[in-house]
Amino acid sequence: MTGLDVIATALRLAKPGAGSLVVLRGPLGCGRSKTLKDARKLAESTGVRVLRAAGARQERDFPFGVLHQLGEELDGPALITVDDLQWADEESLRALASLAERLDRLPVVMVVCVRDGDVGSDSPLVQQVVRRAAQVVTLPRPVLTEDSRRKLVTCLRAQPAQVRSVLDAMAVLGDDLELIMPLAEVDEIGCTTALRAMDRLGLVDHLAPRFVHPIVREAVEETMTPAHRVRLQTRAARLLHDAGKPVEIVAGRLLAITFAQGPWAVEVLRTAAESAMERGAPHVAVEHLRRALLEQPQAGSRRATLLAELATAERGVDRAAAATHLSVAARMVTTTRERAAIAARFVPGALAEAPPAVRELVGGIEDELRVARPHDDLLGELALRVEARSHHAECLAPGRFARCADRLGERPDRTYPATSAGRELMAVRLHCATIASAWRAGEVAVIAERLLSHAPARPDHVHTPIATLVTTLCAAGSVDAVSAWLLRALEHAASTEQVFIEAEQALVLLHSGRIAEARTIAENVLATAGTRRLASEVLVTLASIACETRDDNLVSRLMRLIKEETHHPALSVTYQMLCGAAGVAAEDLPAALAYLRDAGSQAQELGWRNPVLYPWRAEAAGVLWRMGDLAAARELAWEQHALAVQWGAAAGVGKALCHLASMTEGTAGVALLRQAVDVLEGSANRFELARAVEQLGQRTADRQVARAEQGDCPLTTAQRRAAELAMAGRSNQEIADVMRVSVRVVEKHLTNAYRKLGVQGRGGLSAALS
Amino acid sequence: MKVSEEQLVVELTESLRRGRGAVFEVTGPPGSGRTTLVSRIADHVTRQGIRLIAAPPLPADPRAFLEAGPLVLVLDDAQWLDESSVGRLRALLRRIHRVPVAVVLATAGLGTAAEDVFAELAEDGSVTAPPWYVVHPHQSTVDLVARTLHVLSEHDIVLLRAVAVCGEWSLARELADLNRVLADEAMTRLRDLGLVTTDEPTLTDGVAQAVLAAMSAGERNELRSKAVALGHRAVLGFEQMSALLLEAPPVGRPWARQALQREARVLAAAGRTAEAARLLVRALNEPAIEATRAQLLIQLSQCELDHAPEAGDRRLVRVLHMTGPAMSGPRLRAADMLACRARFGVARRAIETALAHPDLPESEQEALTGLYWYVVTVAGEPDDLGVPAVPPLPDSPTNPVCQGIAAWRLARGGSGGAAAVALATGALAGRGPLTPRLAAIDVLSWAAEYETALAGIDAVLVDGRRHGARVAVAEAVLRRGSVRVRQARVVEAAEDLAAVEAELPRGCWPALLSARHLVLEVVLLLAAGLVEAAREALAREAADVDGLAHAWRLFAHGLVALVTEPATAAGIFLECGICLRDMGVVNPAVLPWRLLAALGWRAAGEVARADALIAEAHDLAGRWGVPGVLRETRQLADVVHGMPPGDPEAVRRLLELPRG
Repeated sequence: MTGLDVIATALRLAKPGAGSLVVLRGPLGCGRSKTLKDARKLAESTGVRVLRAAGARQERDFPFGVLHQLGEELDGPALITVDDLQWADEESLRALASLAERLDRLPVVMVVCVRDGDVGSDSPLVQQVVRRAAQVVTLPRPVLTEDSRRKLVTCLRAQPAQVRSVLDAMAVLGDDLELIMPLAEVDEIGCTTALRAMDRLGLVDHLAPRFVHPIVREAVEETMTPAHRVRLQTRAARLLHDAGKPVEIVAGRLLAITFAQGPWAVEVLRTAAESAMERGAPHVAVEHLRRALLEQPQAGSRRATLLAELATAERGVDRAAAATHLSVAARMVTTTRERAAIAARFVPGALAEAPPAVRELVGGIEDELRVARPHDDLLGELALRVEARSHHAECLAPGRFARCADRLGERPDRTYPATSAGRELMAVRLHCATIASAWRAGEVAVIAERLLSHAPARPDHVHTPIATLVTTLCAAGSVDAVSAWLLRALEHAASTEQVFIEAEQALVLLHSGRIAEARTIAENVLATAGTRRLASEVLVTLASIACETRDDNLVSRLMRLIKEETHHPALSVTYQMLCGAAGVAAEDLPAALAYLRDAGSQAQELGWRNPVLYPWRAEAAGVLWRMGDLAAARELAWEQHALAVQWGAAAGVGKALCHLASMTEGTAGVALLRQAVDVLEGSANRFELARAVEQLGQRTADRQVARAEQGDCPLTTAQRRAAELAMAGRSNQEIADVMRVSVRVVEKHLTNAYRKLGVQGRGGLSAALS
Repeated sequence: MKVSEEQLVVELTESLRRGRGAVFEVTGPPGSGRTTLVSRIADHVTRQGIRLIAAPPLPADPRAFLEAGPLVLVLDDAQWLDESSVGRLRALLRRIHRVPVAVVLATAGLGTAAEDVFAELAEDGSVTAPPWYVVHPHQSTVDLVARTLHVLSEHDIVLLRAVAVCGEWSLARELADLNRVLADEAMTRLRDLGLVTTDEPTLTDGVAQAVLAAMSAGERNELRSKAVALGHRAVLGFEQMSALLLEAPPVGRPWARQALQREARVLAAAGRTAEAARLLVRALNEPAIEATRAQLLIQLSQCELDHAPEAGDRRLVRVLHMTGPAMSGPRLRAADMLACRARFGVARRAIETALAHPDLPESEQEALTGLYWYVVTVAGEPDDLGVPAVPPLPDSPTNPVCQGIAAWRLARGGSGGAAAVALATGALAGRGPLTPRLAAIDVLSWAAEYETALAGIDAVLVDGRRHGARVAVAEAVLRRGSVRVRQARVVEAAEDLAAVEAELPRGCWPALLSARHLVLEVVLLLAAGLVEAAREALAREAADVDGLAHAWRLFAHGLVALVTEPATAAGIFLECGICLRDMGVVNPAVLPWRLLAALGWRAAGEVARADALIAEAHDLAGRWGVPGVLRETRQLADVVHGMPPGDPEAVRRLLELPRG
């Protein structure tokens, strides 16, 4: 039966004189007042007089306040309604209780409403009235909506202090409710009592405990003053901290509080940043550390420490900011060792990209260390690390070539470094020597491989000078060890470092002759980077792949990316190379030549002479050849060859020889090709070898010769050519393009080759043919 | 079985989760809030996303519910069920034992048809009756008390409140400040009202709560403060005192804190660390000087190791951030414990902060510096990149902490054996922080100085137990086990292995302790020929570790693989070696991975690779320069050399001998 049904029945029974008391009770907003209104309408429609009254919180102290509202004496059938009985004054309650006692002898129905859980609803006097009821109708909990908010706020404002502090604590704590008691500063009994009352009021599920609806929480928040809210949030953060909540949760709360909290907060934020870094979320770490800096506003070693940590978090996502923060930190500390320790955290690539003032700062620290000799062990290590960074930056900066060459000397160092700092410096020296082609590839490769074997294959190597080993080893044509090493490094890499490592892998693939795979990775790197800025070394790598594969699409995409950054020397040279490649593709040969010559003269000025890393001569020679300036083309090709021989990497020499051979007619050309095949046999770049063999086959057009070159191979020249290209990682379509036949013919050649060699597919070729 | 409303909700969810049925009978007189309680349960159930069916009427065939579970069937006013409904209910109740269907009945009290059904079920041996819970609406006690309090005399109320606060009779009478006659009279009245049990004068269920709930917070606190003062005067036991203090506002006298600390120590010794921690958190509310608070925080952090290790770490960090007078000892102990717990980043930062304190005594500064270098090294961080810069360890340290750490750093690098042994021995002469002593013990065991190492371990055990340094004690026991394995005392080593877990629950082990324990376990299992058990031990261990712990884990995996796949094992040992070298550990005595990889290669027929590794092990043993290790290396190398190449069986035979 609904409340109205019960009242209707009571009214019917009351007519002959047997009245009764009906209690309507329930949580906030359950519809008591509406039922009362309906009941009054019903009574009036049947000619029953209606007397009404309502309790009011502010009027609880007026004796007989509620009773006076009823006014007149009782005579004849009547309906008495009393809303909000819990707020009635004591005297009225006693009177109503005694009236209720007598109702069964009167033609009167009394309906009273009690809002469960509200202040006063449990008072003995109210209970005394309720106990005299013939019917207690408990109305169900209503569905709260946005419209209930006003009512909720009013109701909440009227709650006793203890209840309000429990609710405030719940609102501030959110999901961590075991700390309600300490935050509300209420004992267990008080807390349970408050929660139960709020449960009956329909606002809280006291078993969980939680608010029954988000709107309740919003209403509670509305009743708090901003100052009180901040005070509670601050205390909540501290309580969560002391209770051992996960550090990132506590740190997350600290982010919302914008004034200083003291050393504990700094520690929380730093620990949170550390754990964010560990799980590969540098952006979160940066946020935490920025908040920590708010705690340490004065310049000094503490702020410097935080800035250095911030820079470490930033180096994968925003290297420029990282470099800036490090340089600010370095100016804040007082001792040489601390300055050096900060300088030693610069990412070499970022230092090369940074404004000159930053490089000068590091140079200054390097000088300071030189003056501060003799060093203890730690300062000695730092001096090496700083030198490594400074040397690297110098090598990539314009106008510093002479000094860089001075540093390098004629030959690699005789002593092998024993510490990681020494190995960092050694890696940089090898890199500089490679770029300048100052030492021989063979010597460089041996030392670089040894360095690599001593370097932990960690993903964060990309932020250290160790990363330069990859380029060095690729230029020197020694790629086997570095490829396995990079795979291990990639295992634990976060996404920020993954980009770098993938670019490194692509470079290794390019120099192994697995050009198609290199191009695929390059495209992936570009796609995953999206609109994010790529580091200069990544761009240089991708550009070298684009030029080598003559992929117009890749070339134009990279040109767009690099165009704005040509203040960086390496990117400037790269940009000219890309423009050259684009010119060739567009058949605009004079423009292409101009760009390539620009690239060449810039590289020359910078002292970057390595023919493998900067093959502008070969490219320009190709363009000249096509333009018909054969003499100039040959001259450049010979220059390229001479430099390649001087550098000494097999792939470079072989490639230069092939190129020369293509410009040399007759037996001299064939001889050059034979020489190229010989040289390339000792190179890791299988693609160059395949191309050389293919050219040789074409040039001699003599199966015997070609076969002699290939030993006692059972394959025909065409099959052999297709197989070599397949081994080099070329797709069937690419092989078809190179051999100027259809894809179906290539497939046929390859199937026959597999059958003759007794292998299953491409995978078996290299073993069968080597 | 009688349960509370909260238990009902738990039991209901739990039984549905287990796929079992249960009956919950909500019973109480009219107006006692049955319907409210039932609707509250219904609300809760629907919010949890469990299907809810409100009846009566029951459908003609309620067995349909059996396939529809999990669901909750709610029957309000079950006393009014008609004959046919009772029949249907009976049919249902006979079958829900094994299906996730919970029945919630609300009845008006005695003699319901539903109860008859249940009685029938209980007697009928052919079916299993579902568990039957009875719930009285919680409100009833509160209501009862609220109603009763209204009619009680002032004396009665005073006494009732006193009993509610004290939980026992004699102190309560004192607290109520009533003479014996008045008190006895009041007691009799309370007993007659059913508020106090008859045999032993304690409050009946829920009454204490209800009585206290009817007081204002201020009144409660005042009464509790009085009770505490009275209890102190009456010299109550620590257990009772702590119970009173737990709820009471701060007392402001040292005895309060001491009582809580004493009781916490007793509880912690009994393994009830969570309860102990609660008392200590309360003790922190008592005012005290900083050094005392620091002691308290350290004690608390030890208790929190099991259930809130992060909180424990933070207590220690807080101690290291303190700058008051007489803080030297506590700070050092906190740093020691943090270092031992393998929370390296946290420890390093906290020590850095402590070192920045301008008026640090020199000895503390040296000791903290030593611990700093320990955490930096063991975490595998570069020495030189620290900002703020911490001074390097002195070349010939005199502080025992620095001696221990210097010895250990030297030993990891694998050179200067004699100097390292001398430093380690010096470190063990002191009775200071435990972490450096454990490091020194490692050095001695790598230098085959087993007896000195064992003596050092005993001293660490004594001091560690005295200070309640639980991780250090476990570490010491583990080291005793590994020294004994090196001495081929297999049985004693196995005892140590088991003792580690008794000292510290597995959940609290730092990663490296866990990995070292695994290696020891695998070695002992393989020595006993229990290859399968060793494999199971490997599978139990967490896989996502890095740094040194990863190296040790790999070593354990290598050992097990050596039995069946020597070539794979050799690969794993090499990986272990790379991992150790990345962390700066070169010393061949730390883990004999080179010789075991050689063993693997030889068994796989790769003699040249084996010989290269043996030669390397020889060279490094020579560089370490400890005769005992050189001899052991030669012996093991001879064993490997003596093994027929390409014979995996030989490895198996070899492993079953205890390694010397």
